[in-house]
Amino acid sequence: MDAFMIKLFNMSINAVWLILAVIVLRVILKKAPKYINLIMWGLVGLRLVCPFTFESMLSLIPSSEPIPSDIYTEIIPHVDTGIDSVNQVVNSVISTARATPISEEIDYIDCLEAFLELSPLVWVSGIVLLLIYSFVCFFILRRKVKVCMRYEDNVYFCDNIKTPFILGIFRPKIYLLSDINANEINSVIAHEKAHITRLDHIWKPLGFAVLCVHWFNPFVWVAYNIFCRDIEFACDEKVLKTMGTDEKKSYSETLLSLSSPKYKLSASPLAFGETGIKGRIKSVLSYKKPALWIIIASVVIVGVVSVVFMTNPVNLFTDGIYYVDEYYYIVPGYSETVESRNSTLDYGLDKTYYEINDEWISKTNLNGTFGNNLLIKCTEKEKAKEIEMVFEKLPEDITRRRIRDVYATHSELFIIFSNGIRVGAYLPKNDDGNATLMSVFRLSDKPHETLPITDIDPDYLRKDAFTNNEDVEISVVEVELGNSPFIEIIIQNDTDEDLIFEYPDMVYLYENGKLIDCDMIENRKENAENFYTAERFTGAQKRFSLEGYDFSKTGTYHMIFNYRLSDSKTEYSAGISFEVVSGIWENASSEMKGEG
Amino acid sequence: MINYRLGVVEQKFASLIWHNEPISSGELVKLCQIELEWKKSTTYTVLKKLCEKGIFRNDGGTVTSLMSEEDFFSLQSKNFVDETFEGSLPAFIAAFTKKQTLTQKEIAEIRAMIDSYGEG
Repeated sequence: MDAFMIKLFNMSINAVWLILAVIVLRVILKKAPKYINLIMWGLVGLRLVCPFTFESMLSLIPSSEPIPSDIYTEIIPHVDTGIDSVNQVVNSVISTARATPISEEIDYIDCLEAFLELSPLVWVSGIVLLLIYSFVCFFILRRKVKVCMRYEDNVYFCDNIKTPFILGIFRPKIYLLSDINANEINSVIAHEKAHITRLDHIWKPLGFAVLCVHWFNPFVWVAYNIFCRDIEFACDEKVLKTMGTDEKKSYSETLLSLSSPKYKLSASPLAFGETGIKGRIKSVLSYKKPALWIIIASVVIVGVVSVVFMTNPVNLFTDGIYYVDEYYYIVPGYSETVESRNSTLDYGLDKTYYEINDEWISKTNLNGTFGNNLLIKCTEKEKAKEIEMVFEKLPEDITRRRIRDVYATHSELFIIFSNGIRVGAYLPKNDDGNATLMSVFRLSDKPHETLPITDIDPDYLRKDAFTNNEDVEISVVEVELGNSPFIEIIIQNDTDEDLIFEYPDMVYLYENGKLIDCDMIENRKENAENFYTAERFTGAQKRFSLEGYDFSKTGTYHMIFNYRLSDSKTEYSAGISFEVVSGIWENASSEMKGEG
Repeated sequence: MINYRLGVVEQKFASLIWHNEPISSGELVKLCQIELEWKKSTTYTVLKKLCEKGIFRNDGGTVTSLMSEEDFFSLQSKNFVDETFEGSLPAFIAAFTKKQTLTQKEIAEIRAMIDSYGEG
């Protein structure tokens, strides 16, 4: 029931924009035939009743879900009506309601929940009351017109009524005042018959039914009121089309004589009398058949309005390619380039991008594509913990209340904000099932012109991501440049466990402390799927040759690799670096890292 | 003062009774069914209303009138003059003739009426 009520409220709120647009358009399209207005009101009715709607980039609706569907479980609930001032007021009220507990005797946790739980009841009661009222009016009228006299066809005279009206949906009958003048009678009958031809005796009750469903929305009441008036205008027009000047005069005189309105609203919404006389007399007297271009222009405008206000704003994560644009946060030492947590000196040259097709998303970076992952749209509630982690690292101008959609793969989260910002985050799961936040970044649909380059962080090896292991040592034996480059290193293992050594896959080149290039290791590129190979050795020492690197440029080269002891899952890292000056290597050094 | 104004529909009903009285209520119902398309309950409701106004009487199933149609119309006219012209018939006639002239024929008729009134 809750989801239904929220959907109902959202439909009602979104229809308000259309209603306002129609009200403005009515003024602009004054010269257009009045049935154009009724078409627009028909669209309003459709919007209010139809739970399905198309999405369109042209939509002017601020938000497809002003009240988020999981509002009742959110700790900080919020709505987004698209108007900031309204949002502020409503959100503060809601927050207070959420924070206000109700006494323990009542079964609700706080005022907000009480409101949401009780609202279906209130809504149904409202509908029932309205229906009772209208049926009571209907039966009273029906009783009155029992004392009637047939004049012709389905037209009757009645003594007790104050204004002519139509009663009945399937076999509508026209009731006139019994003391009507001879010269009025034709006008009135023409008008009422026009109503019946136009099926107004069906449209108006339908409109009232829609009003009943949305009785809590004052804009819908206003819309219904204007809708009724427009029905009368359109009916007048239909009658006037066939009239000469004399008849028109007589018609407006008849209208004038009916202008002692005893009722403000109709006698019963299920029958209807005469409304808005003054405006109608004015428009009758000034009626001119509208030119063709006006009709065409109106239809075009109505078409535009339909698209713009009948459709919901589109989800911004449509098929396409999204580039990692800017990092808001990255775990120091974390590299986006491989799935396992190799450390890297920094993260500036990432060329990661995401490709979205239907529900699959594939991620590509310097190492190649990582295959397709299922991309699922989920709710804020489902990903609440992960979203909290992401939000801690976002800049302050991206606030929670503008979240539009949330998508997730098994280790990545994508948040779309209603102002168009797309944020991604990488949160792989630990062994115990909890997610760790590794990076938060912004996505753009435009690739970088130039890659950002960041300074080397001299303390990178001492950041908190890696385990220190004092019993393992590494040293560089030889570096061979030239056509078949290789590095020979020795790993000294003083633990009494096996060591599983994972070959490094990236080489980073620094010049004057700035990262200027990074490259995939040749022999890794061939094994695209099996992108890290590891080797296990027992014993105290092993020599490794890491082949296929390009050391032609001068600068400082860094390489990082991971290793594990026996089958423990704890990862250790090691890094080596050396300088190349004029084609000769020197100053090789190595450092071991801690922190698993 | 009892309101002797009848709406057009009630007027038609009343004249049905005047032209068919005395009439049993059952037959009246049938008559109204044909002439006015009324249900039985409607006929009885309106009949009751007119009886309360003192125009008709329903005595054990038979409907009769308490005044003739002409009497009723005169009462109506008198009430109209009383209400609108404060009972002054000359004022009524003055108003009547203000916008429409009397024909010679009408003048002769009225003169004859006044003459015979004085005598009777």
